[in-house]
Amino acid sequence: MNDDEQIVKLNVPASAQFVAVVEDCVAGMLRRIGQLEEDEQSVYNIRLAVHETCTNILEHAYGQQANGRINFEFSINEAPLQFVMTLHDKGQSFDFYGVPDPDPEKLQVRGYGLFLIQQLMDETIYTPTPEGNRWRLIKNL
Amino acid sequence: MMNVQVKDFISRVRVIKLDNRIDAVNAPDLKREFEQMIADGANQFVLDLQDVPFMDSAGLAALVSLLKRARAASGDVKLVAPKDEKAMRILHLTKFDRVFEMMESVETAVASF
Repeated sequence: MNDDEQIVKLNVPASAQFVAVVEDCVAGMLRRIGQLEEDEQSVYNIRLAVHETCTNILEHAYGQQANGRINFEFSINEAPLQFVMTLHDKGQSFDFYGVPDPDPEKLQVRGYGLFLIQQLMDETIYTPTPEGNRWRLIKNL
Repeated sequence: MMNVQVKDFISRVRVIKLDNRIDAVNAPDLKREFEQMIADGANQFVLDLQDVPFMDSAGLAALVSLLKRARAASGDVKLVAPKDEKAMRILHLTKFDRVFEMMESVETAVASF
């Protein structure tokens, strides 16, 4: 089986109702890895990072725009063992690197999503493109 | 004649038990309910999160929004920690366990006001 055959691809409507579908798909993929069967925290963390990335796209890339879609590609690399996810949307870009970490002491209401994604994943790369936005998230397993 | 001074302290604490995911789908409704409670005059809250299995950034935002409004009304919000370690870890990661006073039970939380 070549590398491309190991990639799971999804294309879903950019709607909060479908975020759980994507999360379930990711959790299902991770549970195929024997050593993660008992590691609920890792599955939970990756699931939450996926959830937050989707929520960010819904809120910031598509906003009130209807009929948006998100393309996902998931794969598990074996050496080193990694979960790799890329997302593409065709919405608005935003200044990813200009968003400061939240300071809860200031009772900040926003900014927790990006912070969580970066805390929960080992690598988070956001690239705005003329056609939309590309995210690449990697978690070492 | 003995001078007797009497002071009545009436502490009204609203206990809110949440037992589902607190996420982007239901956080807006929750935030609206919190805002209505503040508008109705409540300012001391205990949020019982013991049975909450999952919280995302929208859920965290709803909690901190309530805290902000309660403190602006001279009140406070205390949390009873989720039993689920994974959900608790998110509160720790975002330092919410330092911003909110975390209590072990609803009873101790109510008594602490």
